[in-house]
Amino acid sequence: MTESSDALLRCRGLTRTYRTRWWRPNFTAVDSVDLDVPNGSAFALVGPNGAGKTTLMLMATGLMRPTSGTATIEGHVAGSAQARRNIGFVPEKFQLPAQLTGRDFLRLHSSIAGILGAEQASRITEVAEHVDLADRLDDRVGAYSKGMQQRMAIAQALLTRPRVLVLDEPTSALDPLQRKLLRDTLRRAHADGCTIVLNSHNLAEVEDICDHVAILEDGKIVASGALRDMVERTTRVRVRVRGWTPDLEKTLTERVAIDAIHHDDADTTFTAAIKDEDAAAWIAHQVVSAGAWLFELAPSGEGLEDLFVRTITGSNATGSSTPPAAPTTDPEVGA
Amino acid sequence: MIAILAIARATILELRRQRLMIVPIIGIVLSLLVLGAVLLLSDGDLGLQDRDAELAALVTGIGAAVAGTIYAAIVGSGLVAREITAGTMLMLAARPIGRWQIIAGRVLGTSMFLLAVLLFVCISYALVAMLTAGSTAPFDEPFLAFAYGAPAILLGLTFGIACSVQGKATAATGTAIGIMLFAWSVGIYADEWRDEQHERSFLTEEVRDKLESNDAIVGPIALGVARALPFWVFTTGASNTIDRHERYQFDEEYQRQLDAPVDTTKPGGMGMAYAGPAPTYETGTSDPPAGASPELDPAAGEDHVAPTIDPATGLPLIGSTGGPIEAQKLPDKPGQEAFQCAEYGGASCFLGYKDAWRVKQFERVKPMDEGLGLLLAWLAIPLWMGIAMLLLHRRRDLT
Repeated sequence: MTESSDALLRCRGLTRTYRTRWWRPNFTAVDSVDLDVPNGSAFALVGPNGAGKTTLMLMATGLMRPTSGTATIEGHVAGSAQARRNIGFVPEKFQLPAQLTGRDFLRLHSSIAGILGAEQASRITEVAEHVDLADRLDDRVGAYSKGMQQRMAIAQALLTRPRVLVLDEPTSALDPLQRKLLRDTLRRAHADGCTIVLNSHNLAEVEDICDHVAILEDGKIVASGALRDMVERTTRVRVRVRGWTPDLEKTLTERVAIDAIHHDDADTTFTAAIKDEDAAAWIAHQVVSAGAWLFELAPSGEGLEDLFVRTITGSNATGSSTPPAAPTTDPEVGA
Repeated sequence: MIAILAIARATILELRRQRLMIVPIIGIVLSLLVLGAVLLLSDGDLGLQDRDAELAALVTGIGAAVAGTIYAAIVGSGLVAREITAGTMLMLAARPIGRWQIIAGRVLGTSMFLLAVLLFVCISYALVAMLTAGSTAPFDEPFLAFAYGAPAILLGLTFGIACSVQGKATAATGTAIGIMLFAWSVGIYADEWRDEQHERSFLTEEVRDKLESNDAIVGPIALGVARALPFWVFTTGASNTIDRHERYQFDEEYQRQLDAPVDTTKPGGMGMAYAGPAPTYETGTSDPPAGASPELDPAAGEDHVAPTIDPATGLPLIGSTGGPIEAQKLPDKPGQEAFQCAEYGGASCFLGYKDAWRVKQFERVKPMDEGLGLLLAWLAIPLWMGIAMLLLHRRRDLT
């Protein structure tokens, strides 16, 4: 991958192998991953379950030792005290100490980070307001809802004004309202200049918050870059025609990539990856020129989710291979 | 240092509010109930000193040493493992502190908390001893309970933490408790074996031969294992505390009887070799040897036999060769503890060889063993703590 000069978090050849039973081969969760997280970006790490996202995230932050490879945060080796001063971390699964109040919990983390005295008190109030928990600071954390606990965890991560905020599945198991509150919190942190690294299955959320994305599959990065570029590169249209012929298919595939062809009784639908609007017009022209009727040619609404699915599955799924017969009557008459 | 203190403070706050805290409170209440039951069921059989002994056993043996240590192991084994399972360890480890500081903070906080609980239990015991048993020495057992309980509890705590660093909370707790119980039972066995060795040292060869023993191999191994696992400090601590307490009572009763006017109209008298010349021991069982003095006849009103009087001191001897006492067989409570002597008339007679044994037994105050046990325990505390720190430091991941 190309090396970004302003990368805040940089991974080179990160590999983590787990030992399994002695009679089985070792399991490689993350395999020689190179990754650059640009400074000031909101970076999403997505991938199917078991792709190695959490392992990669933990190694990148120095919380797990890699089998090989290196990770640095602002040039400091991940895991070193200097690197850890720059990160705030929220793990995927956690259970805050239920017996502590929110204030006690934040006091613990700020004291450990060396924030003491009046600065500590003001910082605790500040982050509590940031996550909308200022009025619940003196309640025990055990009495918090799941969403409040999640926000409290983010508050502890924000306490030290970290350069990079690393969140592993922060919105899992949250209701829509809590998810929105959390997204707002992250947006504010990002607006304040904090680099965000987000591991999430919620791709709509990723699109909403993040500007960079890396797709991880079987421990390897299979796609990465600026989200806008990645999605735009593969703008797709959904086309529905009647009168599909093999010649038409051949003509279309000469210029555009077609997939997800589906034939029903009368119509054929497919999606096509296009690079610009001209390509869409060209498709329409070819359909009409072939004597078929064009019922629909619309942006497929594809976003990160489609990109994700196509990248992971290499989607070439097609419907029935037998196209419907060409229309024999004028559609307007036959309708 | 600030980080360690901050973690210690949070640990104390967590423990103070944990439901697990109910356990020692329930333990204290149950102890008092058991004590009350013992006193009620004893129906006067137990003297004041025996009540004290019960209290000593209850508090030092069961309460502070065993239950306290196991409780500490449970708390300790959950500390790190639960934190790893819960994910909060990752939050702490993401901070710019060493993993060893997390262990140190947890140990410091939990130690302070548990020692405060132990102190509370000891003070409660002192008050109970004074109020219920009218103890003559209400303050030495609490002190001893603390002296033994503190290292034992810290030992259990650090051992529990060391167990928990590499595993899951449940497995760690099970492992810690299992090893502690093993160490406890081995310690008891080793202690019994050592007692027996001591007793054999002053028995005649004939009697020694009569005592069956299959411990020639197992006993030394058990003692070695018990010393290697310093948890035996709570076994030794408990038994030593009770021994010491009983010796105190024995001395006190002996002095009381020395000071009492001797009723020369009745046979008998002080039957303790304690103040007399060194006794010899010819018998090893409570049954009279063949051809010995006739047994007492309760129907004839005989309830004791006259001891042999030492002409030099005017005190009765026990266990002297061929003398009447060693051959005695009291009709009731044969071989009972010395404290029942008062039931046998104004001029009391302690009971035969058993009491002589006790005199010798009390010589077996084990300062070296006690010192060694406590020293090993105190040394093992930083050892286990260091092992926990090392294991956590070497652990590749914290999930």
